[in-house]
Formats: sequence, C-alpha cells, structure tokens
Amino acid sequence: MGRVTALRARTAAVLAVSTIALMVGCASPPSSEPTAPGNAVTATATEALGSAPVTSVQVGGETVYVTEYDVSEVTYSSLDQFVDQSPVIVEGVIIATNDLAAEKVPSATEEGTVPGEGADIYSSFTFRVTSVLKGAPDLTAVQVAFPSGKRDGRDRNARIAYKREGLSEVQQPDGTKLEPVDTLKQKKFLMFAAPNNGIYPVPGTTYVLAHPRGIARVAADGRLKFGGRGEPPIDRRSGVTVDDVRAAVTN
Amino acid sequence: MPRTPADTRRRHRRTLLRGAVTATVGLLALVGTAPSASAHNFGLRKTDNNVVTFASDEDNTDHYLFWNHFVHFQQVDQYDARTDLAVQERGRYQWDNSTDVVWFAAALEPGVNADEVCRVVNTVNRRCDRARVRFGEHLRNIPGPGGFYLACHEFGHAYGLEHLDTGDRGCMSTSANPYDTGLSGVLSNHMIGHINAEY
Repeated sequence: MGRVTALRARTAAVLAVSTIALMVGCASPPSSEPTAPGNAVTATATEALGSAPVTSVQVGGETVYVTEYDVSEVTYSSLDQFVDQSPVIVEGVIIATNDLAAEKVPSATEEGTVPGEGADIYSSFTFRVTSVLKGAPDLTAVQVAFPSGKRDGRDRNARIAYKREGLSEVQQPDGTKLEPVDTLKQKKFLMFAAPNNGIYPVPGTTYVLAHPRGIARVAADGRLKFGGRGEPPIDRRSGVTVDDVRAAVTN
Repeated sequence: MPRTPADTRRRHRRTLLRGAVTATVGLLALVGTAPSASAHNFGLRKTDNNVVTFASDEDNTDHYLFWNHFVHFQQVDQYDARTDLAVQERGRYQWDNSTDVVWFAAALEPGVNADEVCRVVNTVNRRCDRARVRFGEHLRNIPGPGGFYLACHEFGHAYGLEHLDTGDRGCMSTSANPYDTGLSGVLSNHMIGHINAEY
C-alpha cells in the first residue's frame, strides 16, 4: 500500500472510531451537570434503567417506595415574570424539617380515590428569614408545606415517597425524606413562596412554594442552584444571582 | 511526465478509498443522530404489561368533556396506534386499583400545569399499580396544541417516559408553555423506541 493510501486508511479509521465513540456517548449515563440547551437529546438526572421496579427503602421500620413526582411546570420567559408570580421572596436558612408534618385520608368521594385509600402525606420545613426581597419586611420565619407521599391503604407501615426534581437541593438523594436539618443549616437558600390558602392541610403552615423549583441554594458566588434541570431562567444554567432577583423585584 | 499504468491504478485506488471514507463517515454520522432505543429517557416502568387501561374520575362534566377530547385522541392516535401498547379506555368513573391510569382536572399547586404520580404500588412486583394524572383547572382556555401536548406528556410519564431535552421533537420536552400554538403533541421516534423496547 502506498504512503498516501495508508494515510487515508488511517484517517478513515480515526474518523470512524471517533464517530462510533460519539454514538456510544449517547448511550452512556448522564453527567451530573446539565449540558447546554440545544444539544442532542440528553437524559434527566433521575432516570433509571428501563425495567427497574420502584425503589424500596427501609426507613425506621417502614417500607418506603420512592417514585418520581412528575410535573409540567408553568414556564416563564423572563426573571421579571417569575418574580411577579411569587408574592414572597426571602433569603435565609432552613432551621427545622418535618417529614411527616400531616397525614390526611382523602374522602372516598374525592376525585381519584377509592374507599380505603391511604392517607396523603405532607412535609414541611421552617425557614429563618435573613433578608426579605419581596413581601412583608417584618417576616422572620416562614413555614412551607408540600405533598411528599402517600400511605398504603392496606399496610400502615408502607408508604410512597415522592421524589421531586425541583426539591433536589433539599431532599435526600434517595427521595425518602428531606436532608437532615444539620446539613441544611450549613447552606443558604432563596425561596419563592405563595400563601397556603388551604392548598395543603398542614396546621400552622402558611406558605407553599410559588413554583415547583421555588427553592434554590445560594452558591458562594451568589448564583442560584435550582433543583433539577428546568427551563431558563429558572434553571441551573442561566446563572441567575440573588442580586438579579433583587433587581427584578424593584423593576 | 506521461502517466504509467501503475500511476493510473494508484489514482483509481485513492479515488475509491476517498469515496469509501466519505460514505463511511456520512453513514456513521447519520446513525449517530438517529434515535437510540437503548439510550436515555425511560424511567421507571409503571404498568404491568403492554395492555394499559385508563379512565377518568372527573366530577365536573365541563372539565371532563374538555380534557377527555385531548386524552382520548392521544391515547388512540399516539400510544395505541403508534406503539406496541394496547390501550383500553374505560368509562368515566369505571375504574379500580388495577386501572393503570386515572385522570381528572384539579386546582394544582402554584406553578404547575399538570402532574403525574404513582398512587398505588404493587408490593409483590414493585410496579406502579395505579398512576394519577391531573390537569390544571386553570387551563380551560388553552389552544388545542397545548391540550394535546399535556395529554401526551403526562400519559408518557405514566407509561415510564422521563423528560427529554429540547433536541427531541416529541411531547416529552422538559416543560413547555401550553399556550404555545407550536407545541408538538406527538410521540417522537425516540419515545416510541423506548416504549416498544420496554413493553
């Protein structure tokens, strides 16, 4: 084989191997950091192998089945829009959590229930406010509730836990409960909240999140780390900072 | 300098090789961008087998008629017609714990247009026995594409699909504005590949 021919053969081999490597990359596990929008189809951070059954975890004598709580979120084209839809925006620290803040057996006549239906479970966390960006300036603590699972109607010691993409900064990675409060206390958060108004039956809980991604960790550089992927500007990629939110509030 | 027969043969071989390289690279690149059924975006399998049943438990007839239009046609035209799933619709209120998906409209939490979650787990095979799909009551004026998108999207979750990024043209994009009249309400080939590989 002549030199030129050999060179072309090597080039062909290199190109073929590179292309195959790219194809294989499509089937490899996702990285923990999202890729830029517009790239080829990539995975969400929470996916499992196709036929995997529901994960079950033993937690303090209970069998906890963890399933995704999938939501189609309201999207916003600008930070101003998002801020407008959040009546309360506060910066602070989570100082208490309650994974089983309330349990309510739904009425048998409620939509989507059958007689003997297991109770809905709600969790809550208490947020000590260090700075009010929007809302009553004298807010010092905010307690927030969210649906976190459901009892098995037949087995009191079994429950479903909802793993929520938007709460990945405050939920344990296995989805069974919130992070221990000692861990959460080490972090700063920015919370977008709305009045509970009876949405969730948790006594004393006056607020709910204004959006499924309504709580973001404040990184050292001030950037907001929203849970999961999301869409701009309510996502990890957009690099929104606390100061950006403060500016949007005053607009 | 005049060409010898050996020069001509070498030249011919180079041309052939160049063509082969171009064709190989082109073919591989094409395959690389095609949907891969073994790649991503299938989460937990949530139904027992490929025969899936669904029903509505919506009390409000106006809400039922509005959303049933989207749900019914997406189940028939997309999941039943285009995948290996055999979709069976039960009458309104005609469901029990073995019904795979029960849907209705509801007042949802702030920032949510629709949701899907497993409500009953079969503790023997650890599959979801009954999923719940809810559509936001606040969306009664959305245009048709938004309704078809949401019906396709939430039932996709109920059958095990997870969110796809913006590179996919199907109905499982991460999130979307339901008032966008350009929304896709169809299954992409990528999604169909995942469902058929699973069921």
